[in-house]
Amino acid sequence: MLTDEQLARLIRELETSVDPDATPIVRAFDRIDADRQLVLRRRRQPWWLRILPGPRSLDLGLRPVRLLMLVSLVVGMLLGGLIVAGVLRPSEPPLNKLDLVVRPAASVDLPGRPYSMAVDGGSLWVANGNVVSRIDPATAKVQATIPTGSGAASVGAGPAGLWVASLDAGMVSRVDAVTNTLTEPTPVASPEFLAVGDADVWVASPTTGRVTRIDAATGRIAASVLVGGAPSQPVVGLGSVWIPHDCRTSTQGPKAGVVTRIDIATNRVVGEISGGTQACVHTVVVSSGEVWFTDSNDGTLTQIDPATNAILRTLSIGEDARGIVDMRAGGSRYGVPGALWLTVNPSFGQSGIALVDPVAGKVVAFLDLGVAPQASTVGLTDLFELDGSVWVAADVSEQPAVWRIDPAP
Amino acid sequence: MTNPGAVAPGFRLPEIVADDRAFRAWYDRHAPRVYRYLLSRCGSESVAEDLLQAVFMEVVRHPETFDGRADVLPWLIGIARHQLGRHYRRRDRSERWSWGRGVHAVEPVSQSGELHAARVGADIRAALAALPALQQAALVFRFLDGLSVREVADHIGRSEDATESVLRRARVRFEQIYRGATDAD
Repeated sequence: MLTDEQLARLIRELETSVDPDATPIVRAFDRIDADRQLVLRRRRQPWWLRILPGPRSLDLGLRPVRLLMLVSLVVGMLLGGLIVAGVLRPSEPPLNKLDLVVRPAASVDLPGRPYSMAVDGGSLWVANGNVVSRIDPATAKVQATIPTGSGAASVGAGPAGLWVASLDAGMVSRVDAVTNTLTEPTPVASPEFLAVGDADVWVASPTTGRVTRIDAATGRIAASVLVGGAPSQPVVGLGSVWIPHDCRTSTQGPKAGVVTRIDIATNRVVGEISGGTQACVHTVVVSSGEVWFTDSNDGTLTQIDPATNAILRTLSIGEDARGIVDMRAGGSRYGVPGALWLTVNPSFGQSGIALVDPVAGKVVAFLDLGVAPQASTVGLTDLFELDGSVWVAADVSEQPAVWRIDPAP
Repeated sequence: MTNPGAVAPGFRLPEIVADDRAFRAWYDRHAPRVYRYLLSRCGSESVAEDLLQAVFMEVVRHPETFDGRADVLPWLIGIARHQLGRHYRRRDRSERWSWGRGVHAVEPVSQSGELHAARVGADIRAALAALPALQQAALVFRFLDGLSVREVADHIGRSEDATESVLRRARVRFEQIYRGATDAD
């Protein structure tokens, strides 16, 4: 065994054996200098222009939005003046403090890391480790634990029932919610993620780059679509299946940062929407006719135009954005209406939930759930709304769990 | 020999950042040292370049945070170390997520040909690169930067106990790999 001194001497060789090439230093300067010019330009702007979002936060439609925000600002200042003058009284105090400390109303400890969540038959189903845990959302108690074989599992629910994919077993099975057992297994190569549609189950296999369609009525494979890359959690909506690709290699090569769209009617790929070269798409959500996805690598939220498959805009949220739930309908119960909720996991600082106003294109509040930075392995991942509460998958090193957040009384 | 990081009397970083020529000269003077620090620790030119960029962008955005000490280099290295810790933590997350799912992460640890290193350095680099991100970070911060266990813990975002454990595993694994490589020679 090496002593401390020997080890230190050995590792110090790294310092002396490096002969840096100057090219990267010169190359980096160009980008740094561009950023410096931007910073200086913004510093020279009057304060009321500086508080408007810069070009890094809104990619498309920036000028009209800026103009709109400027007009809103002027109107706001006018109204503010009237309020100060006592002419108008605000119906409620404005939200000044954006950081809100929220503690989960309930926590359900899990035997393994939470991989996915689904709601079916009034229960919350969480695939974690090698099991699926059935949770009563009202009591936050585990009602049943269903083994899924070795390896990670994924769970999904929809009109075609509740289904589980068992990665190592290479099986996709229907869950019998009466007996809490797996039935009707269908073999699929490396099934890791699934989504359930009206009559079919869509299974993504990152290692093979394929998405498999299973007819839920017969349990037979109806189609196998080669999408390439590492397809992850699919989502069914707007007559399509939307498949993100995360930052992994597969036999089909990398496709990180791409969302593939498959037409359900034809089983054909009808779109490949790229989020950027550095992107690592984590979650897609289809809600209210809109399609959004998060990027865990550069911490952005991007909107896709489902009519053209073009990217409408990209909002910079912060580091490591993962799960999304659309709380524009139910967010007012939590005091922050009109927001998409995103789990974010900065390298330094608290993991939590960023509440994003998609109209304003910014984070309007941050829910601090009390996750210690050093407790985090991955951090907070998926989000789900159920019976007015929001459930969060907490993939933290101390104790993997799902947490329930309730509206303020 | 003069200290390359020493600052002149009346030195004000915000004024340097605001002046095109002064900033270029200041960057040319200090960037090689910071880059060398980063490259020797992460082993990849592309990663070191990205981190170098992050360090100086931090400076450009917050020049007022320079505390006026006599030598600017330790301050820059402090920012670089912070960025390095951040990089290792990101990689750690990526590894955990990928390994949990049974597929390896894409991000390369080191690319061949990027380092013009002596053979002994290459063996050490290879042994270090074979370790998980947190173990690499712990060894580098502890034995190359000479940080205390507590300081290492702060940088890798773990408790002191957990960091001790990471360090123990790291040195055993490092020695196994390094001895394997040198014995094979």
